[in-house]
Amino acid sequence: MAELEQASPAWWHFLLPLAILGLDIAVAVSGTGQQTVWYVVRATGVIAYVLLALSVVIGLVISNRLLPGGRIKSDVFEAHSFMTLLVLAFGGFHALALLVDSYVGFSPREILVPFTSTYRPASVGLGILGLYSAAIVYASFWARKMIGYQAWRALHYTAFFTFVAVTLHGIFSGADAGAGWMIAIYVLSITAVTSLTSWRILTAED
Amino acid sequence: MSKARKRATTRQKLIRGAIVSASLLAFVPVFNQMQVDATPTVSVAEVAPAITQTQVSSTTTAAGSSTRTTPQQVTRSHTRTRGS
Repeated sequence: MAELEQASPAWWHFLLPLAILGLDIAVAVSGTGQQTVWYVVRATGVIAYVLLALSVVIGLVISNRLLPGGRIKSDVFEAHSFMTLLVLAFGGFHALALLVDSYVGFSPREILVPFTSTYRPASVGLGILGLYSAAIVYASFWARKMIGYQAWRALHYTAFFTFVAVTLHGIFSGADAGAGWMIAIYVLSITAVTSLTSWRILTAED
Repeated sequence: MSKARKRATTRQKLIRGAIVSASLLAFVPVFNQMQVDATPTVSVAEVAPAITQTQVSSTTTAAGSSTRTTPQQVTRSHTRTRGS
């Protein structure tokens, strides 16, 4: 597993959330129409979901040993961990943009504390928990050396909760959940994750 | 830094760059699709009475391609004719 070890995080990894906050403020002060902010909220949510689904699928492909070893495997692992970071970036933007948007009018508390929202509290709460659990999964990439492989692996299973929580969040509170293209994204993602997870369980050696 | 390590770092940067670019590029069609979905669709039954009351001319060129003028264009052309 040495080939899959992470290099130390680049300095700009820590600036990414700040950059998102900056963009969010720029959207707010630029006088952009509320309709545009609402599209940004939804589009960042969709991109975050697609990245999450891809990251989970790639993770399952790696754990199912469907890839040849060596350079290809380490490149795919790099893509897998980096996509998780982007899930946090787009998911963070999605949440922060909701503060700017006046359509629902979320308060900071409703964005940060799960199940406190007046708008669809259960599904919005699942989205918040999904984002927090994605942060735990991403942190686990860096903490592996400290916590050991077994603990890392147990922590990494949180990714399944993240996927389920975010999928339910999208289906029950997403404005585009009924659109054909979004249904196609859900069907493809759920099918891929379910199939690969079943394969993983059926072929488990330990 | 060894040559192999340098190569690995370059590959890492390329992978990350490609993922960021793809994510930002994907944002555009998603955003556009949302605008399309938000555009109200009008049925033929609603539009048909309005069409019968406006003048729409169409001309066909020698090459066979057809051009249509909007009611505004027709009105402008008509006004110019009257003024000359």
